[in-house]
Amino acid sequence: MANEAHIAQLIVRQLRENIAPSERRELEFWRDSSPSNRRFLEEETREEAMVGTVRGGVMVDKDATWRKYEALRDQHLLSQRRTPMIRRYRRFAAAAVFIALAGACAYLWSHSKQEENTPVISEPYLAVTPASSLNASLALQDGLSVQVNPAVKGRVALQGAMVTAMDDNKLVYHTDLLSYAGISDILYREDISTPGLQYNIFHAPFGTKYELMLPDGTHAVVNAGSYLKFPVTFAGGSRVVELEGEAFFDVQPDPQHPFNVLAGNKKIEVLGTQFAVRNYTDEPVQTVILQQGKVKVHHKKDVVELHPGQKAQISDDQPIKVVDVDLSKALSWKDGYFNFDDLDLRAAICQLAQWHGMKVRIEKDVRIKSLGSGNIAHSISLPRLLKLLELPDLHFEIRDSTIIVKR
Amino acid sequence: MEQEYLDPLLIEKIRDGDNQAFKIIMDHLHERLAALAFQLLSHRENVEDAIAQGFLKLLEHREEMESISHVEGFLHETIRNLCLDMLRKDQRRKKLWELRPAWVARSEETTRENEADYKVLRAELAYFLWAEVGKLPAHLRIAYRLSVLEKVPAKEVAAQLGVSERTVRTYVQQATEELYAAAVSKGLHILLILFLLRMLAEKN
Repeated sequence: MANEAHIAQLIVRQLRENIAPSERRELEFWRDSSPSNRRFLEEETREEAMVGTVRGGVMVDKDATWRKYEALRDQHLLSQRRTPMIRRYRRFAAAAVFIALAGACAYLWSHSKQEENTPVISEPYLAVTPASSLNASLALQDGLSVQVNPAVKGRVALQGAMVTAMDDNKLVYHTDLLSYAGISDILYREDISTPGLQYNIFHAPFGTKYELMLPDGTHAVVNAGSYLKFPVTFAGGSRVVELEGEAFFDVQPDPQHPFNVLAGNKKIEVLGTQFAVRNYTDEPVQTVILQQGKVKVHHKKDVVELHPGQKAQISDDQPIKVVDVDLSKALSWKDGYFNFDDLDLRAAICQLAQWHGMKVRIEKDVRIKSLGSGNIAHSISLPRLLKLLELPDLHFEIRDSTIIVKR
Repeated sequence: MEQEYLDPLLIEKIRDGDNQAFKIIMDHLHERLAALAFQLLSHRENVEDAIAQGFLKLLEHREEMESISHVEGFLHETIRNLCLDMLRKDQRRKKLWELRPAWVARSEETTRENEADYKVLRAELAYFLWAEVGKLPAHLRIAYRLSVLEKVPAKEVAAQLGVSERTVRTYVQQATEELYAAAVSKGLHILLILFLLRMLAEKN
């Protein structure tokens, strides 16, 4: 970005006609370094800048705005008429709330003993923040944040030496386009002198997963509600990425440059392999599942080596625990499925809710212990999925951002 | 539509809260207000909300309006402020978002202030340029709007205007020249150049 800013500054000076001769030569050098730079400078500068600005005027639907205004207006006029009534009710409402609260307290107090030894949950306990936006985003080091819209294919961002392109829910880094644009050449040279300084942060929102091809060719599947931070170019001795949430990695083998995943206070050390890391900060236990190859999991002073088909369970105050898992079930999410085998009702619903960024509330009288087995596609909408899972004595309701499970 | 907007009695009707008069204002100003709001909010639906709320404010304050240009200024300012409020709320919400890792927060914070300034400048420019688009002669305005903003193929634009494709290109060129000249005459070309930063970053 530093370079882009500099070039832009030169263009500004030229347009204001106070550019120094040396700067003019620099700008000319940049212009001549690629045909696209030349075109940009000579033709597109003025026109496209204006077009980008005014286009908003035709992108917004006037009729939709008018309908929204009419709705607001009607509400406004109605509320003006109703005000006295509401005032009258307000005092009554306050009293009603007080009575209800007192009742609830008394009820909770009388039932608190009994609740201690019932495993059934009545309060929302999975506090997953709802998605900030429906689109995935890619935060670039220079502060630009690019919305990734699955409906639009093509280039999404250019940073440093890298060009990001996407196809459906896939992001691909095209290193072969390095020599495509002159400005990339300039930045590429700079990047070598200051290695590893530029990072991208990819954010997959709730309700979807994304596939990424990292700059070194490593394939990553980033699950819903996760962040992956990775350098624009891998430089130096080892390849390091940071993860918050869940991701599956198929690491491009390169013994000279070991691949490391930092997940909170855990480190996963890799040499060419396929594995999944689950590191949602709101969950007490984090996991690493190895599909192929070999990884070492570091947590505080603990180090564990995993073999294919094994899962490491990491919680803050205990040593790492290693168990065997059924890979097709444990990694079903990366192929686009929920798998509820061997999960109790609570764990299964939580998995579902986590993916959609929802909370869960299970009412006390629910007797069903599991949601059954088999794979269910992520792509089924939540209301429809819940409808499918319903049983004669198991029902669901979505209220605000909570899934309520009831009899 | 133009004549309705220039009707000297329009302001009276606005003061009376006449719905049809509000519609005339919406028809006439929507594009430039949308251009303004779009730069700040970049989501179509949020833009619709902001403009609708701005018009509601106009309804509430209709009796204070002295002239149509007063209405224009009021809507411009109110909607810009509503957008900025929405932006701020959005940022506050993000701040409360505990799941967000620390490094995301850091990189956002450093750029937020520049970003907001930049956005406001850009929004003002958008509003100004749209007003200028509105002043173009009809044939230039339509050609510019269709072929440049809506990306309708030159052939279709030519058919719609009943002229040759070459003439359409000439119209577009003329419109661009006039807009640019208007921007320069207001000293806005420097603002315009701010776009270079963004465009260089997005350049294909």
